[in-house]
Amino acid sequence: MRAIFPGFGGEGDEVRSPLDRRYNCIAFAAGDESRWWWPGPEEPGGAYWPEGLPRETTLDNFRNAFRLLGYEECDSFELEDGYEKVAIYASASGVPTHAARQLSSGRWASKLGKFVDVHHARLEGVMGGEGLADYGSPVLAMRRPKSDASP
Amino acid sequence: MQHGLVLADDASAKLNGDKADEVRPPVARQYATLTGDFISDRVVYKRATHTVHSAMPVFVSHSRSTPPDAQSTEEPSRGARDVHLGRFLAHGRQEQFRRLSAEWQQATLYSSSLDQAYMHPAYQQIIGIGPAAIPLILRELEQQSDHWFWALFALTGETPAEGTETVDEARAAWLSWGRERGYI
Repeated sequence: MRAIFPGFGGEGDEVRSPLDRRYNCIAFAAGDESRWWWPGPEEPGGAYWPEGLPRETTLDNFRNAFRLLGYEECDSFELEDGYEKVAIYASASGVPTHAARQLSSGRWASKLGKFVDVHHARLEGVMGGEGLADYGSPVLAMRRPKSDASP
Repeated sequence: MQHGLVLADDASAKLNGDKADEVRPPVARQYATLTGDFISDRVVYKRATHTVHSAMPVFVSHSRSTPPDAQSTEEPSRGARDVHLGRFLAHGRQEQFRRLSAEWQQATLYSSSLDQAYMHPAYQQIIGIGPAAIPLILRELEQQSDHWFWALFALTGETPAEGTETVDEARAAWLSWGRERGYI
């Protein structure tokens, strides 16, 4: 893992699941482990994107997808009482690459593409990879009031 | 008994006069294993030793595991050559697909982006194989789920999985489509 994500492997960082090609980071951050969320082309099938949103890979589109789940933009990635948060990552050119959701402990949970679920203490834990593992950096924090079912 | 045939995917294909070996199937397999040659059915394809400008492996049809009849000790018939050529090309495509598929799976393992997955050079090269890639992709999809759906759509123009929201649903729809058409 450290070879792929140099920032991963500190205290509190752990792999939590086997490899699973059926869901991705956006689905996982949205609390859905049955579908692959991505606004890719509709024709081939096999991917989900909320109805009514365009099939385009923009930060605005990802923001709107999480708004449909009750999240609103906020200023901080820090843990806040009464809220659960997601962090949207984007490349240097502003293209969304990844999403992580915050746990009640303040740590973050991520699904790494087709690979595994991980918990990471810092958002930087899944930054710094190369090539297609380059998630860029967290650029958008969103929060919603915590429900009883929140992890 | 000389009927070696050099087969390549370019203009270098030519008849070759390599001396053939008398081998039976088990021996042929050992021989192929030891030498790195490719064996298909009753024919040993010997790796050519000369240099060709081709990305694909080049094999020489070296010998038969059962003695050929008197006529076939000369040059093989056109029909036999076509069969060998067909097998060689199919093998070449399978190897090419395996290599590209492995490259694509490794390169996109950590990515959620279908844009990146579909636009990856190895994925595009698989689409570039053409219709011959359809059964190879479907067999791969039979083995394990992955995002082969865009390639299948691009190659076939068909949309059996349109509207599916899960990888498993799309996989089932494409496999069903492939079975109905005899691809798998």
